[in-house]
Amino acid sequence: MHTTSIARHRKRARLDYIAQRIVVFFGWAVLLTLGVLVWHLASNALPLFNSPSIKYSESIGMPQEHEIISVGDVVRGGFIISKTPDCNLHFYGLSITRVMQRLKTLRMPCDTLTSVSNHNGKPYLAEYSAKGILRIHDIVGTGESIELSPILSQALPVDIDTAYGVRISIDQPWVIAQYRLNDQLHMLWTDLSDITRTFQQTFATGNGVVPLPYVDLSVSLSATGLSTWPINPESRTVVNNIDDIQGFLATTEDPRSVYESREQGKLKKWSLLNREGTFELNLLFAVQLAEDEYATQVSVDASVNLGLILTDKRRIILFNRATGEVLHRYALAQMPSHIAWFDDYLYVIQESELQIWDVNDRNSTSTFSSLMEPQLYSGYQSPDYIWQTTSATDYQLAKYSVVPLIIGSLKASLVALLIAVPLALGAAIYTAYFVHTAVRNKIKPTIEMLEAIPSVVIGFIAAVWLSPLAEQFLIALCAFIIFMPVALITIAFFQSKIANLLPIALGRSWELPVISLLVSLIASVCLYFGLDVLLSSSQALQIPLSNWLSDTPISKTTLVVAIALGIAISPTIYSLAEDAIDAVPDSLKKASFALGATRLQTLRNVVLKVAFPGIVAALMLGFGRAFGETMIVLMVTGNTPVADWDLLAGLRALTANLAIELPESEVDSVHYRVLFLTAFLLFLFTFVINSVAELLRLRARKMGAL
Amino acid sequence: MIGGWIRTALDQQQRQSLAINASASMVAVLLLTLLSIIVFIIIRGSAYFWPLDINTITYTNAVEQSEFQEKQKAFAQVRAVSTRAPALRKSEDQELRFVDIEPEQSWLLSFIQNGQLTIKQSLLLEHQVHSVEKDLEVAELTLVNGNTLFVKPVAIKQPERAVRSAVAMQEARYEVGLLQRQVDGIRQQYLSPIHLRIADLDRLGVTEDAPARTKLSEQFFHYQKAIEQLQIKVDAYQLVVTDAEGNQAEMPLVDIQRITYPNQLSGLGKLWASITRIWVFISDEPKQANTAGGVFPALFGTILMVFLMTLIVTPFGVLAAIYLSEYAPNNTLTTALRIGVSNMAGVPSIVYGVFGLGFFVYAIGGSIDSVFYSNDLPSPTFGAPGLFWASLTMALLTLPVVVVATEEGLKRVPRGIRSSSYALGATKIETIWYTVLPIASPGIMTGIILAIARAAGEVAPLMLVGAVKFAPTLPVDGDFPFLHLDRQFMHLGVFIYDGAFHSQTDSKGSSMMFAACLLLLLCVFVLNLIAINLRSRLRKRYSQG
Repeated sequence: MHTTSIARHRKRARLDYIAQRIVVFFGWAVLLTLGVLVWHLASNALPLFNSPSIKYSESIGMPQEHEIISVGDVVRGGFIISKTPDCNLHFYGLSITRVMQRLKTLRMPCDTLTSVSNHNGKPYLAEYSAKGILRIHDIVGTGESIELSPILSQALPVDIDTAYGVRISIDQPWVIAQYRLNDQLHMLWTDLSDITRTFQQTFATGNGVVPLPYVDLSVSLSATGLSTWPINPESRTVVNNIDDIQGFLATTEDPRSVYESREQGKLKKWSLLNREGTFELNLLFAVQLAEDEYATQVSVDASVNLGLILTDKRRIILFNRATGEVLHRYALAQMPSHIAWFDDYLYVIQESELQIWDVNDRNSTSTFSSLMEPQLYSGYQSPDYIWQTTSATDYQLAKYSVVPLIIGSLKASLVALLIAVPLALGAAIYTAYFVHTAVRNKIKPTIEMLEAIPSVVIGFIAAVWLSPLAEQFLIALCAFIIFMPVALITIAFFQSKIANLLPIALGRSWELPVISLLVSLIASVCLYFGLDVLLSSSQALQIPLSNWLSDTPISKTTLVVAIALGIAISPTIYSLAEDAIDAVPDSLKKASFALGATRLQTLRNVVLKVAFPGIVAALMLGFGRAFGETMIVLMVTGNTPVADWDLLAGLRALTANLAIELPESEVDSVHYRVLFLTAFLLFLFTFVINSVAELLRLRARKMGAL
Repeated sequence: MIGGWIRTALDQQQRQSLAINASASMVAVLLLTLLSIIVFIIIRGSAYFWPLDINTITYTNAVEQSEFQEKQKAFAQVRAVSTRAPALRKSEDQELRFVDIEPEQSWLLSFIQNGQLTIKQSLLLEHQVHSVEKDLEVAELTLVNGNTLFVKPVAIKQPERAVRSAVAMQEARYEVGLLQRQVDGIRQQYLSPIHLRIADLDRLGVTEDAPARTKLSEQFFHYQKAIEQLQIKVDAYQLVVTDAEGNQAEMPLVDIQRITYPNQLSGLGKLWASITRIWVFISDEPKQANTAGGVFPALFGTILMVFLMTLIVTPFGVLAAIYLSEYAPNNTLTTALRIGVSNMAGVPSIVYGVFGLGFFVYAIGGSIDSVFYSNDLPSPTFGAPGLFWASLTMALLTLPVVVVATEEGLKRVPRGIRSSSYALGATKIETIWYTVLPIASPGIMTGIILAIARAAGEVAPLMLVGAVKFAPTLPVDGDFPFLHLDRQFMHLGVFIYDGAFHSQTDSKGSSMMFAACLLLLLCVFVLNLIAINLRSRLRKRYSQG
């Protein structure tokens, strides 16, 4: 009996202990959850601010006496094309055991000039035979089944400068062959979809001319600057006045821009700006190099805004191709004979060795400046804040300026606050101070029911019903804001006289119904006759109102969304402010009354002062709620990301942007990270506001306890 | 300036009454806003259920402007009048006016064109409609595919019998029902077992000409033929209808889901018709791209998601609240925990959605896939938004609601009750379990109900973690494991959100969305009212303690 009782006690004690452990675990699990939330948001957003870098990973021996003419993405099944002194072409690939393996050999006569050009990472082979026939082949297949598939053959003059050779550029539909003849540079443009359509351009210069096939023109570099030369319908352009200068001019896969390094120590990016049909070159930025350094090669990434420069001082420079900021510099030991860059891998050929370098943190190209400062984007006339995350083609810049989104959020929530504050504070003062507790206990839960209305329902009403009526509604609102005070002051004049006539038994119970009736009366008058009344009164006061109003439709604008948002947040502010005013101790009010103050004086000098921190906290929490609200801003605005404080313009808020774009963004891409950054910003913003408001409320509570 | 003017113009008492009236008018504005939102939703929502009269209208088509326009006749229903508001335009004298636009009516017109029954929505200006009449014999047909037609039934054609008049509609539909049931019976009783057996044979690799198989396929063809014959019979039941101009057309009786004569209905009859429509709305699935039919999958999805969320959030929230109120030492860390909880309540809901998508779906779901469902990769099982992740995200979102309400409930349990329990020798957990929790249960219930109400109305995070505008299957069905936690689901809020985009042009769809709003509002309000009642009861019970 005794032993069983001890055993039972032990069991109970053990149970108590286990229960305590479980409860403590769950208590801390809440904080853990919050921690995981912060960590996850931060860990996805903050890598954005790392800097991309390159790191040497391994070297692979190359066969001796081979001249490398093209480097493909060998790690992922691409190949290297090399040429031996016997003029044959060899294709090499990387075997599983990480050694170079010959895949194929093409026999070539020694009097044939060969060159390889890459377009969008795909190699094309051009051969120019001694008879003056240029053949261009697509290289298809992988591994040992590599084959040439001819796409174009053309007759060129036979006596071209063999040292220069024939260089080709390909960008659908154009194939452009560059060769030198009689100290002139010739450029032959052929339309692949109609090979009889050819254009010839001739330049009296050696270097410094590149074609920009995307916009049908060539760009030349001279001492005076850059010039553009459209291919013209007469099919022949002859340019004589170009002086040969020392400089670097290159195009990349980015179809609308050129990179130029005329001055030492600077690499400039120019982009084409379409000004009424003619193209102008517009300087976007200059990448700062060392004093006497030239760029020798520029490459850009297809999917992120990263660019790479190789300079004559053996340096590799990574830069942001939207802002021109230098992100990483690396000095190579020797000048490489060839470099090629494919996403995560950089291939550097040095002597008879292929070095594979890893490009790390490619998705961290964004910098603070590219997110927050206005940028001059290619195709724009002046620097601007642009949020445009999807692009039509690869290589086009994605524009991640979060400023339009922040402005959108701030704009909507500030105007909403402007609407909600008078409503909520007025109502809070009324129920917490002026009326009896019994009335308060009925009104407060009713107003709080407004908070329970799902925001999607408010958004739906605003989108489907309010926004088509926006003009009428806004004018009615203006009229209401003007006439309501007038009516109130009028009533104040006569109220005491009328009240003295009424039986005392009516008391104050009639107050709210009468006021409600008045409000609805004025509101309906404003709704139906708002404009007429406004116009006639403006004429009477000689205010040129008609000039200020415009007849542009204003259905889905900031004002409309702010009204809906204001209605959604006013119960939050009301509820908290009401609590704060109600918490002012009775003793303080009574002391004030005892000193002879009226109710209004007590309200102004005692109650509002004591409740002030609580009211500020209520406003901040209301602002936080408006800032974080998603559905209303998503449904009622047109979601256009414009960096504009205009209240009649559209907007896109941070929250709505997340709802729209996150499901479609690829995990770990720049886009995904920028979106996580905005989520993190939202989190931080509301966290700070809530914490400050919470501290204020604690202080208010302490004051109330005095 | 204005303040100074008021001070000089009004005396002490007048200023005070101004302040009182001004603040009271703010209360009035808020109350009127609430009232008008509710009344608006109720009126527009219930209008969807109320059967409208079908008119016979003559109209001229809007497109042609010539004088010799042909007048056309059609059976039609007014869906909305003058959806376009008077517009603010500058008139010729550069004065701003609301230009009165001629009232425009949105009509749903039903007519027969080349023997085809069609219905279309068209906007007609007031002068385009010449006459509106009411014909008692016009019926509203709701088709199985969700379409609605207004026609006048004339006769019924059926096999092996003379053409009957439309009066015999009920009887004919009953017969069709019987035939349909026979078809279903044969399918279920004979065809599906045969199918199963053939599938078995296939699995065992039995050859095409094995006797067992030929026997089965003979049976199969036998029943198939029987069904075909029945089907022909069913199809032979045709309803002959005419439109307002007298064109005739035939339609299979089996396509008709419901047939009503709204013009013949009395007030009570209309009420009954509305009730049937409410039932269809709640129990049917959406049709015609979410503009007709019902909202059953959305309602079901909402309820199931909220139910799962409650299962997750209740133990978590209640235990955390017990820790805060009963176990936590009074130190800085506990203060941090409290601030953490109150801050979690203020984090924008979309941030939870982002976290849910990034952490639950991609990180955890992705890991689950690579461990347990590696066969199915790259098509994700749990690595894609779905029901479970939505519930989990919502549980996180509503956690602070439950914690705060429960803690308040626990705080209101008088200290004396705890002390008495300890005095009787109970351990801490026994005191909590047998004494404190039962007393605090209304507080806990309040928290849970508020959490449910919040979750039912919240949409933004759900759009990221699994709610879709249309899901082909319910998350619960007859296939093992019956509850499919990985499936995407429909949600009332997402349904409304999606509806807001295409309903500005389509007034028929928008009234259905208003009905969905009404349903959502009803759920949320009822839940909130219960919570408020529970809370006030709890406060009263222990207000002296």
